[in-house]
Amino acid sequence: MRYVLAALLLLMAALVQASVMPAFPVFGVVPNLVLALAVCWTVVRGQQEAMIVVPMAGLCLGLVGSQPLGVTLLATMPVVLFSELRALRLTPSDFLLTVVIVFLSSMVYEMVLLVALRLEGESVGWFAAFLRVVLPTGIVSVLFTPPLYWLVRSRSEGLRRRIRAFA
Amino acid sequence: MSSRVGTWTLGIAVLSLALILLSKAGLLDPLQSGVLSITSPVQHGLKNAADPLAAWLSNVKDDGDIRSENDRLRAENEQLKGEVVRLREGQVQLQELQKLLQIKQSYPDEEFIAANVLAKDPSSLKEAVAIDRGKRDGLREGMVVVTEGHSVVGTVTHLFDSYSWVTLITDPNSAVSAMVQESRAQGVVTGSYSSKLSIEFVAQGAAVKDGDVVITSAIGGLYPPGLVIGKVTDVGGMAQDLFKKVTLEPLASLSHLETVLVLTSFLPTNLETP
Repeated sequence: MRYVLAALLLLMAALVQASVMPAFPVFGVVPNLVLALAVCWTVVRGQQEAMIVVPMAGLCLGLVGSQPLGVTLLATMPVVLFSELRALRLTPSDFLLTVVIVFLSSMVYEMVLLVALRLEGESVGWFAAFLRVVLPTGIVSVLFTPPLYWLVRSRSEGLRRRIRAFA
Repeated sequence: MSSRVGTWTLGIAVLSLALILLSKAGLLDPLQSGVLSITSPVQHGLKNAADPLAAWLSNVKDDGDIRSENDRLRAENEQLKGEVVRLREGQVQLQELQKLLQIKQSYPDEEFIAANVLAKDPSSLKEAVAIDRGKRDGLREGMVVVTEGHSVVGTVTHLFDSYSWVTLITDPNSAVSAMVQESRAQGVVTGSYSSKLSIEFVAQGAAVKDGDVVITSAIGGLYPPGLVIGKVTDVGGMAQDLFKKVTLEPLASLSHLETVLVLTSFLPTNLETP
């Protein structure tokens, strides 16, 4: 059930990202809502669920984009690796950790896409792409993280309460 | 990193590579095409719901300019109406002369296929839109896509059976041979990561000014000549520079595309060097 909910949320986020967000660009870019949602899920629900939800996020992004399907799957993979930071207890709160991972993951995601474009034979202006797309996408994705974090957190607590009541 | 995460990473990497290969071989086309067909009504609905808010925000931002722009557009409209009448007269005369001289026309019986825009690429690194026409409708890679007003949108780059991706002229990898209509100065219109257009390789001595119209040129054989690309918005650069720095804005509203026309009667020519 939880994975069905995750899949629906991710697909909805992908559709919103592709259809609504281009009308409201911030710093000329659109936030990576799908990736931010996957990160929120990873931090709130743990690494085990992330191993299912993160690939789902990659597939959702691939299905609505022009990149070959596996590229987005590969680009979302670092989210699970970054979640290892949680064990190091570097930040005082989970929310702060979410923000850090969203920022890093968004930038890595765009860099992987850039490498894929280059391998496909397109010319890539690395410095311009970093300044105009990679870095702004990281920042803008962070700006959209609080509502997504709240959504996943509240859903998660509701689910836990229902399980406890059932037990 | 735990061994479980290591195994997972390896598994996902292998799966990704397999999917890339399957995707390149076209075996995942039905899946991607199906998903796009199913989700496109939802995307349309979401986009239509968001458009009024986007328009309102844009109006709030540009409130001060709207009145003066309105006045300017009224005057321009008046002037253009007069120009249309004169051009129609000229067109009739030109056709008569072409018949007499048997000159090959620049637009030999233009044929178009209308297509609906299904989706926009969610990545900020690519400027591309998906349209609901594909191989089945006779589309081929490289075909030119224009708006209903015949200004350039881009070219078909990825073809599937029932849909295709069109790379917009604002994409960083787009390059269109162009010329300034007024001065006939040649150049190459390129996109950028900020979705802005500029004309490269315009000679320093060329007469280019704000408001000049930029059209496609026949050089390169990738676009038919004479299609409108945009208007010059800024001319800069230093006197000692080899080329002028010219920026322009596309005439087509590329962020609000709904219906486009694929020019099927023109096929790009891959010119080989002599």
